Amino acid sequence: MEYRIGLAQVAPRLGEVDANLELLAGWLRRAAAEGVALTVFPELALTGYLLSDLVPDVALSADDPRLAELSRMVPGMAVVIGLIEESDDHRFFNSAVLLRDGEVIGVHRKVYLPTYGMFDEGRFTRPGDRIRTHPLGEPLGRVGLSVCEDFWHPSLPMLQAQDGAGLLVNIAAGPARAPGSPSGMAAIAGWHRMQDTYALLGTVAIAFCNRVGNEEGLTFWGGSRLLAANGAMLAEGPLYEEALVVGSVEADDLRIQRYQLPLLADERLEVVRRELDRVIAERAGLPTAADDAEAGG
Amino acid sequence: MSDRAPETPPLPVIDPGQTAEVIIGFIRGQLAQTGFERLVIGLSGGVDSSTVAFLAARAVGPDNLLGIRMPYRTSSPSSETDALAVVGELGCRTELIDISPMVDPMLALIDEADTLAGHVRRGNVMARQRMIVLYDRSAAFDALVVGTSNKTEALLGYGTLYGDMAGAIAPIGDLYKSQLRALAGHLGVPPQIVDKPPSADLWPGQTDEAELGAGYDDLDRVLFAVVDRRWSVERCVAAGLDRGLVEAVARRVARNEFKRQLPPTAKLSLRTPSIDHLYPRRRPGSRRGS
Repeated sequence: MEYRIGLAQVAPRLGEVDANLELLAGWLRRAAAEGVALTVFPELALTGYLLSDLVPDVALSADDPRLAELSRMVPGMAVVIGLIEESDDHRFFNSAVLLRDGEVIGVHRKVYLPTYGMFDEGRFTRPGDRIRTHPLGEPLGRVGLSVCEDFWHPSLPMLQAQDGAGLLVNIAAGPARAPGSPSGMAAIAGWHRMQDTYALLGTVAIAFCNRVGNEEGLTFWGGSRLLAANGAMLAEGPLYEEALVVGSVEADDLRIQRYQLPLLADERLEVVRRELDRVIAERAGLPTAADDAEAGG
Repeated sequence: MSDRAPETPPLPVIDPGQTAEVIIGFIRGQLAQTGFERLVIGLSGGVDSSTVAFLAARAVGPDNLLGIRMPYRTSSPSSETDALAVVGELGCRTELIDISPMVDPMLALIDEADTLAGHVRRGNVMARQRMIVLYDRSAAFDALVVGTSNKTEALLGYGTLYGDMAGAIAPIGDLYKSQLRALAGHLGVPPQIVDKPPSADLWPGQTDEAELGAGYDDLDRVLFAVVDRRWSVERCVAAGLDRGLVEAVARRVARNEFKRQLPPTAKLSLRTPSIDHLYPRRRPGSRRGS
């Protein structure tokens, strides 16, 4: 059974929520016409990326009626939207919100905020502290959401795959940089290697939606990709141009792949957890279970 | 000893096609965010301003690009020929404005005319006068001034603050001179412009490479190692770069940090521009007419 996914790699306007609501509505209409079951918009599609002190001006809650209205425009379609989410206690997150028929199905708050080199996200938003999956329904089951930098930490997608995700959705605002690689920009080549690896090792389909357009000196490269659970590329978007990239994931491929390559089932989660606990304790200088055994023995 | 082959310090390479696409998109994006449709550029006939003019013409169309030629009486006649060649290739608008009568009264005040310091002061006056002309013409033509500084000269501080370094946008500010030549060739900048020895043409016979003390390829190799790859002096030397040049370049980059930043503001209030009043340069309300 096929599941049709649309990656809408749009160029939002910085700080202009109303204009971006209209922008997203236009692309949703196109996605509906293409028979898409899930439309994915990029990171901060509703607000633009380089917000700095504009963060509180553009923030909204996940259950904001404007989001529900947008979602209700396309009955039955699931939609992932990137935005600045304000919690009830006024914390500001870079979030991916999953909606269908006006209802919020899931929210992922970006866990890893890059605050190094050209990035300064930790200065303006707070990190999320949950890595979960959300029900997407048949045929893929659950979906794991993540935002851009989250994907540079393999524990996150692998945890979501273990948590039942048949599809990982990563929404991004990736700036092109590091020219000189055979594919033009080394930053793009790095993303490709990572996605291919996650599909292969997680035996999970990957939907990566990266924005386009410019903000200040940054150029976002687009190049959204849809990968099957065996790593095969199902669809790829153009570089630097707005586009709706549509492809279909075959749910049966997930089943076959997970039988042929039972990596998820073979994972020794209890061993991983025990060793992780030990590493955490050692790095913090805390006594470990091994120390306790020695002391008691 | 490591059994690895010794590192060789490469020149930074680019994919000219994708680089051009990124820069053209950048120029269009900046115009859209500011509400302008036109650009003004100073055309010197050199590879930097010629390359930016080619990019700008592709971004906005030749009719929306005004190239100003601003010779001083001692400027090389070939600079004018080459600038006109660019105009001819692009079919953009152009104006000729002789800055001699504007700067001569100021130059007469410089008493150390024949010393190096005098040369630099005279050069700065010319560069700043050209800035005044460009900004005046930009108001008349309803346009943004496009900067033409490249990464090599920005890092080395080889430019005049509020002079040739002035501009609303800096399309080639992250391209080394050697990368720029590759881009120029890709865009079809006339070969005589790409291949001639770069010169600020502020006094007869001046060349960049004589003033900087090394060729651009050597400078770019060092800058790419020290700046982009964060190599130490020792690692550069082990890789075959000249110690004297590496140290001189590193000193020069550090000494000119001030030219790449806004002047520091004395912090007093709870919210200070550029310290903790932080906004994108273009945001809602900053577009003209919004």
